[in-house]
Amino acid sequence: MTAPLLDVQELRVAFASAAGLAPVVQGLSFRLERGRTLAIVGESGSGKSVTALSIVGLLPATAKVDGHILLDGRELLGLAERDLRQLRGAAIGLVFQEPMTSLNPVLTIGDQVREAVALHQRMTGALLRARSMELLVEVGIAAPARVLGQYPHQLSGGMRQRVMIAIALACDPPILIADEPTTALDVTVQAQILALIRQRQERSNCGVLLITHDLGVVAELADRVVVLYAGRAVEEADVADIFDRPAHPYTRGLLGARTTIGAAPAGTRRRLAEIPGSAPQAGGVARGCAFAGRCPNVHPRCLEVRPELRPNGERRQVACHLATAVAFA
Amino acid sequence: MSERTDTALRDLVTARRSPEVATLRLRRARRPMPVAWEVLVGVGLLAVVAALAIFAPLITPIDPRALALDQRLLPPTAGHPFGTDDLGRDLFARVLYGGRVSLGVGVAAALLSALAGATLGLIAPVNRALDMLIMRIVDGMMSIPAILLAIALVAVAGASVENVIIAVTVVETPRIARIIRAAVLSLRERPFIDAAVTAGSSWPRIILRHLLPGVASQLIVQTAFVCAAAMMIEAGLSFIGAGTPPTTPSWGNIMADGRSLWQIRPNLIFIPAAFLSATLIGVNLVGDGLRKALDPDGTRA
Repeated sequence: MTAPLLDVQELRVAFASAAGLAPVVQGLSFRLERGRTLAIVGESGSGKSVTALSIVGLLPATAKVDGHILLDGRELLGLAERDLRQLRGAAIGLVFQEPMTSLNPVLTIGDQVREAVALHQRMTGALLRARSMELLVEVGIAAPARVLGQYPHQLSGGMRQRVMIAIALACDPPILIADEPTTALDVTVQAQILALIRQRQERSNCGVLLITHDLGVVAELADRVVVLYAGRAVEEADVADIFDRPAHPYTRGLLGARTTIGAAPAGTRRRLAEIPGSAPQAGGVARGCAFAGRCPNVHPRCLEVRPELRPNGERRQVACHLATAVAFA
Repeated sequence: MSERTDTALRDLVTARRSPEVATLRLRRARRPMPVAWEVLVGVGLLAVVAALAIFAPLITPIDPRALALDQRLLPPTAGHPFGTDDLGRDLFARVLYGGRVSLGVGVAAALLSALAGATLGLIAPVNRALDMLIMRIVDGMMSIPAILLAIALVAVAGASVENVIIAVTVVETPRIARIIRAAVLSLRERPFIDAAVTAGSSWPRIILRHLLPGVASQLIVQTAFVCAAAMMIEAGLSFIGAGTPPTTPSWGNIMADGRSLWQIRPNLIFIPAAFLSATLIGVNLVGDGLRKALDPDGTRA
């Protein structure tokens, strides 16, 4: 068996704080294959963005990172800045959440796209310009020549996110990390951006690591889902299983908290099901299941012993004591 | 490269020369830049003073250093529009030539301070230890009074225009370094810098391509203010005799020469002072106008 494109093993990230080390990611493992999309889903503070940043080595110096991040079998953790720089952009493209602030306001789009291309490819002059325009055309920008000369503030949010995707894909990286790519966009634009990401993926066969809290986005793009809670994976399964047969109570809570149209009987208002309480702070739960305090099915054992991630049926894993004991439809 | 991309590339190269693109570019170029009135007035003042200084040999045939003991302390006349000093030197010629020194020192010191200050301010934030080291040195430089430093330099190396420039640069560099560093510190936390890092940019590249353009407006404004300060310091130093040597006329030492006679011939001190003031007002107006134009909300320092 060949090594997976991206293999993250037992990733642990902790931040130095006044009260000692605050663990943010606590032993997360997942694999991303070429041409597939893996979604990491979780609330704010569950460690999903930190996971994305640790892959490209962008965490601040106060972060302590352990475990293994293997790219085509090559360890990325502890790699020298020099070598990491070779991989950023060339092997891993990153699309950020905020297209408003992720482009440099004082440089033209052309400057920034051309720079992304030229950083890893030997290209100059007319060829470089043509390649930049081609990239913009590929992300669905109709007037690339005009956009190249414009500054970020002259573009809409959706256009900016298209430019960000063009920059991330400038060197045809095998991995695209999209950190909440649609959070800051209008709903109509969200759908376009998602379609664009999927289309670019089909074309280049890259693996997409999707970081999001939006299950709609997950349903749209992902093949496989890791549900993250308080820095740990609580469930990992194919996207259909997550939506049809969620095994972890937290996953079910997330699904229940979605808005749906037409679910309420006429004349009544259906209240959104929320998950009571709030997510624990980094490192806040010393023992037992981190979700126990908010779990509707909590069991005495949950408060004592932390459930490990265990296989539960075919191609899925769950970290819940009750996942096998209680039958969920 | 595949057949498909080849064609696409060729299409795009052709598209670049289309008339549509050409008109767009023209339209962008024609859009007027908002210009503050301060800039216009300031540039006007400076243009007049600079023209007088640069073209001094064409405007007056008189050597500013030529003594004429039979023509001492003349009031303004047709031959000597500003009169003569106690050694019979023509004040008009002295003031014009003196402008060369004042403007030269101001511009040179401002450019050198901008270069040194921007370099320090951009490099310092790269890492914490370096930041500590550079900023403490800068603090130390800041604690030296310009006058004392200049006197020390003159004592060691002799009075010269170069030493005045060095003294002013040493004193003004910290101001620019601190402002640039502060701007870089806040700019560095912006997501587009992370984005540049993830695209694979190295730190030197990020500093030059992403941080420098971001702080350019503040750098330009500060440079203008340093230019004004430099001219002021030069005049002060020359006035007390620690600056430009007396053989070279500068506004500061012309005023110094005239100060004992100011009750008899006030033109000896007020005319060079007026030139210095007009120049300083001009530089400050330009700086202020640029600050307004580049940062209309006044949100940044």
